Amino acid sequence: MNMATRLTIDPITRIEGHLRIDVEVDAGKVSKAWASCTMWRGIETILLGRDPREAWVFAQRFCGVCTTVHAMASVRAVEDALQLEVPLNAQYIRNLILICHGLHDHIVHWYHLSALDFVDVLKAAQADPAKAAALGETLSEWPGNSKMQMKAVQDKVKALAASGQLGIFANGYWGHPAMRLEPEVNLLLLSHYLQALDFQRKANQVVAILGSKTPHIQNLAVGGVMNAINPDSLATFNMDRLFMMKSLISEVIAFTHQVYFPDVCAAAALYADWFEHGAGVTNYLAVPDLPLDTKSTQFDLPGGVIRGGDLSSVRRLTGARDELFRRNVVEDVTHAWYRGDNPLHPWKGETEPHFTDFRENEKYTWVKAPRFEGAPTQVGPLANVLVGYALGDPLVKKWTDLALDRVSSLAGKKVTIEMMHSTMGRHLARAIRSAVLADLALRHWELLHNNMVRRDFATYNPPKFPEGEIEGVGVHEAPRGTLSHWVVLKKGIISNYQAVVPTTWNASPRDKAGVMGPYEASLMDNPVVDTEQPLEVLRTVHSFDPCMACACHAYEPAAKHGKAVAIA
Amino acid sequence: MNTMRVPVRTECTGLAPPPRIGVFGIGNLLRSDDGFGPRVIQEIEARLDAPADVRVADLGSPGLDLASYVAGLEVLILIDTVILEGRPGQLWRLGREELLAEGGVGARGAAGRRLTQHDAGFADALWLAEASGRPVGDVVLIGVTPGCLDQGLGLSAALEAAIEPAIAAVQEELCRVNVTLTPRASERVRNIS
Repeated sequence: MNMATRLTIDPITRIEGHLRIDVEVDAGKVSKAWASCTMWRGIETILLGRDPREAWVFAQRFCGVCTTVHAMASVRAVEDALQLEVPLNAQYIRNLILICHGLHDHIVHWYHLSALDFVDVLKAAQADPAKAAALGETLSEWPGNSKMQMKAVQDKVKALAASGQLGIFANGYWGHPAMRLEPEVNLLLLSHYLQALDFQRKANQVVAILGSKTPHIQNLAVGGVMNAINPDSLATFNMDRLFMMKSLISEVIAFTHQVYFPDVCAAAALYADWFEHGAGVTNYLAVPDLPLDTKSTQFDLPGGVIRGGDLSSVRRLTGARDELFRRNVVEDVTHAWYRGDNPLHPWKGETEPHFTDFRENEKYTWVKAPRFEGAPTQVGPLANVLVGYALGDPLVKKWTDLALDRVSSLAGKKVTIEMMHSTMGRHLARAIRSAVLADLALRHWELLHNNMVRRDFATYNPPKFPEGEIEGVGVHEAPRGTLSHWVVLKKGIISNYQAVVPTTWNASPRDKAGVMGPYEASLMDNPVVDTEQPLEVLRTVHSFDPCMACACHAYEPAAKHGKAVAIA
Repeated sequence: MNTMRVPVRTECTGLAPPPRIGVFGIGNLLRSDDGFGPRVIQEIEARLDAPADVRVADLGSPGLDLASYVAGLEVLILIDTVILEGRPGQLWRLGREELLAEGGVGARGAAGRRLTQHDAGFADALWLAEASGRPVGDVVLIGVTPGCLDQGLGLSAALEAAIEPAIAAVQEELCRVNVTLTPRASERVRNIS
């Protein structure tokens, strides 16, 4: 009889805790899976009793990395409650911030946080730099693929390996049998990994120009933005800054289209077997974003719902006011460390902790279980791309078809849209979404530019709060997927506030009926060749871009024998 | 608090020349004493002026994003909570060697083994900057032993009392490279209080 092996991957070394994955591996495949967040996540309670105009300042501290997205969802929630229109300039400025934040985030995710699941750094040392450069030329016209560049990167890797101190490359699963790329491909991708730092920074600089600072943008307000626009003034947002932004955007677009997109297509082709694993939950949700009018009824990114992986089932979401969205979100806490029996709508949501320890058949996580129309639902770039594709959005269709053609021709076998329900599909969808966002970056820059040329400088509509109780929801299709902030206001003061974040949807535990969430379901039947080195589990979990709890942080140096000097 | 008074400041917009020295507060203002770094920065920004080549900023909890803020700096001074035994409010000075020591922050969250990808350590950020060709020069962490890390706004009294000594410690570090933060004629408004 085969005995299943239980693996707990729980890399907690810091006080805040985060994601823990438990799997049982039977005959080389995952047979059971649980996702657990080991940190209390009820930070919204900090907002109760506060002025809704300042909520976004606190909300953007929910997470350390995705600060901008929480700020945006928060102002939108209050604007939705007030049915407050947002001037066009403010919409375009917000959209540019969201696009550039998204590009920054996706570039970091692929290169710095995921690529090394597929790229073997040490193998790059055996590559022929000339061949790696030639390979680069076949993939795109990017000028940073010269033989000299490849040689320089290889020398760096060789020096690190010789010193025995691999630094950021220490502890990778180097030499793992599931690492299959030729030395030259490893070297090429590693070289782009090192170049990526510069381009994600440039994307962030655009956010800083508009938001006045990153992280934690300063320019938002309920009702618009606080950027003073005057093309004739040196002290305000003027044409100089507009054109400086354009040059930064152009550099980021080039990197996205010529490096990131082709690299993911190539990796997807060379690891095409990963289109066969990791589907999990194939109900998808994406909200429309990048509003084009003051009432937020027209959008550049479409939203919708897909059930059971069937693209023909797609239903369009028309915006945050769409009842299909507003009425159909609940959170179930049967298996989460909170009190409560029945699933609750976020406006009625409660956050009362009830910690029990990890009990796999009872409560085992701090993440609630969001359900859409009662079903677990996957959010993220894959949902975003599939919904856009199913609705026939021209830009999404253009880049998706291009990606599938490229992957098919490199892999030598047909890769179809149906195969996107997978671990590799999530990586490829993120690259497709980035290519779409890169096109939209220039479009929204032009919209802002043209509006300024028309001498429309309005950026803000002041909010007025009624005495009675009102409810609102602010939605944003964030890099990790659908983010919604749900607010209830009484006499102009916050009486309830719930954030349903993308990772809550994806890292959701089982619900009352015992149905698994997306991380858990995606791990079922995932191969694991070596239970000592569960690289394949990481590949699938990382494909979601998990971000659990960056909200607390403290250095933990080698405390006992630390040489820290007490200074006061 | 009135969100309308937030000024859009040009020195943070990327239009200024790249800084030579960074003074960065790390931590989360919503978790009591974890907000120490940001609070110290708030005080510095409110009361002191920095020379053009010094960037003073509250970076929150940036994870690996720290790399892009520190890459290429000649001097990096961080202010953060540290899990070192001591009374709450005890200040510590850690140099590069202590920070990157085996078993220290450097050993944590190394690439490949991380499950949540955003919990990359400080060492990862330094390595990434270096590998990408823009290494960081001198590194100093002004650390404080926290009392309470629960969800909530505001520092405990012991950490509130450590703000001034921490600013003095930052000044001392800057003094080594012949830089001083000078008092402003009038105070700036603090962001979150």
